[in-house]
Amino acid sequence: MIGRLALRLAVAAVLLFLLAPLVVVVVASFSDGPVMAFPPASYTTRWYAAISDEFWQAAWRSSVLATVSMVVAVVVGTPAGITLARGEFRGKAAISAFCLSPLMVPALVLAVASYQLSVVMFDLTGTTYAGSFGGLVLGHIALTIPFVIRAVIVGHTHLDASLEEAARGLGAGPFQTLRLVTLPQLGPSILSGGVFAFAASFEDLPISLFLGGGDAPTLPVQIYSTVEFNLGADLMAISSVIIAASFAVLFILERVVGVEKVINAGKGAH
Amino acid sequence: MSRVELNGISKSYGTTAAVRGVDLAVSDGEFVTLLGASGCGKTTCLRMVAGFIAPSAGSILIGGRDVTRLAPNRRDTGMVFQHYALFPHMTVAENVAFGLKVRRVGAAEAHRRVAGALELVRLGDYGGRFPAQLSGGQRQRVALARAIVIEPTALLLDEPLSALDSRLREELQLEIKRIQQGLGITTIFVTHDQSEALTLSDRVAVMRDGLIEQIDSPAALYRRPATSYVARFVGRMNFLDAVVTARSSQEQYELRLEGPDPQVFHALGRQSAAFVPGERVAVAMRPELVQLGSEAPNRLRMSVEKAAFLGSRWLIHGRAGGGTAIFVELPDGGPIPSVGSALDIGWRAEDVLLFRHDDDTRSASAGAILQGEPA
Repeated sequence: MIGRLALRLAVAAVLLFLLAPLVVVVVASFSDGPVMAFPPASYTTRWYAAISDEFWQAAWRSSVLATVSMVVAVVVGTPAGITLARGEFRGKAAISAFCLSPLMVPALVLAVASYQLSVVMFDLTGTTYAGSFGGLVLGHIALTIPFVIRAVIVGHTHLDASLEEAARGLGAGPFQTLRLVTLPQLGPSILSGGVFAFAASFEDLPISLFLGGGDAPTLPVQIYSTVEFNLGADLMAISSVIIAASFAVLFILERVVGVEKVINAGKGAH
Repeated sequence: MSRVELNGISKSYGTTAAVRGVDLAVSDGEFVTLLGASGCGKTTCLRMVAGFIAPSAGSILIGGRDVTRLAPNRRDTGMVFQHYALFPHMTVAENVAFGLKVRRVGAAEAHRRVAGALELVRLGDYGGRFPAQLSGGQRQRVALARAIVIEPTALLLDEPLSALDSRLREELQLEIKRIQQGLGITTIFVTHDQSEALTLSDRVAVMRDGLIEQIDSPAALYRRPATSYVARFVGRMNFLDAVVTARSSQEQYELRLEGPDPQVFHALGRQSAAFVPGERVAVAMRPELVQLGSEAPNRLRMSVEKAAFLGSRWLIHGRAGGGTAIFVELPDGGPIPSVGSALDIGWRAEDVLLFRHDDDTRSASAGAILQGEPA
């Protein structure tokens, strides 16, 4: 009885700890004052109308960037993950560790390294990728691919090898087996890797800061540079929009496949 | 013409030999079982026929065609796996249709054949369900339908019943036999369960350490096992040590049991080998062929230690004079000896089998007691 009560209290405390900052942001976004106030003295929705075009443009840019990064990560990471999961070749452990290393290296290090490389490339060739949307995409792909690879490797370990044998025995060639049996089995893992890849790209600050063009910031960069000058309520409003969008995505995922499945499929040992 | 032939098939992993030169010819429509303990190489053999393992040496012919180097999808076999291996994201009908789809069979014909195969395994109404909605027995029926719908040259069954409970297992044994006979399909079945092997097969190959120890009809295997290993593995068997004292003809032996209580035994009939006077042999008798009473031939006295009720009969454990473990089976309804009493038992000379005396025998009698239900 006491144990159950303690458990409930602990869960409540964790939920409070996780959700309190979000609640503060959302409530503050309705605060009727020029700077952030919590709790608000009075309420308004005007800050939502006041969200500047720069924020919307940055949000759109970030969405496009995250989508492109995710698609490339899925297209490249899925075969890479399958190969690393089942292949028997020399240096497999080393290649696997290398492919997953961006998960372990702080994004800031990745960002500085990418920037350094772009400088070296500029010195050598006179042209480079930093400061353009293409450069951003490249940097974000390095960031996001490991999420897909890891999810696919983990998903593959749960795959029943006899399913593929059954398919082969029934007359399916290697590619038919991949298309008709293996990939559908890996679907939730790939989706999970994709979701994490999207999120990682969408929220990334360091790489975007180093590789992005100053005149076309991503949403995190835009927010970051705004925060430097003021912690205004319009910032709370755009943050609330992101929170709402995140919940909407989670809700759709829950409806389509089940969030737990996606999270579990992406849960990897590294 | 759908013979399956294994010619000198071997498989080694590094220095470990899993299969060491197996020769096997399964004729058209025949049902052959590879029977053996785990690690004997039976599953490796089957998987080499299916093409999932490449043999280190030897050749495999299916329907007269050398398939040794062919990919699994070009061998035209239908395989049923121990744990069903149904595609979880496809319905029952889609699972069964898989082999037809990759063979580019037309939709109308595929539909008709799938319906027929599901009818055959008595799952006609289950086409729209998913594997997760089926019981273990139903799943294995689907797997069987999926394997036979492509009308393969050979049907390969890898311990298909071992994941099922005993009642369901017996039911599916009959189903498999009925379908196999109905279609006249050449079949190789792998199991460690001797009763399954005896029930289903036209011939049983007992495997041991990567080799076929004996291949014969179930009755021949049971009545005249070629080695003490087979004698122990198929059914229960008593073993006693003895020395050949005389050999009056090719099939007539006189023996003296070893131990503190020397008894003269006679054996009559074809034996696993020819033995010479003075040679040590292992004498083997089936528990259920025992005869009771002081008039019994080849008589021993056993002290009864335990009587276990098996349903239709009793299994009596005890010891002979020398301390050797002995067990006999008596039909229920007759007199059952009490624990601690002495029992006069004997076997007809025709029921006394002789084997070469090797190390195998000692572990054999111990192993035989531990073994499960006999056929």
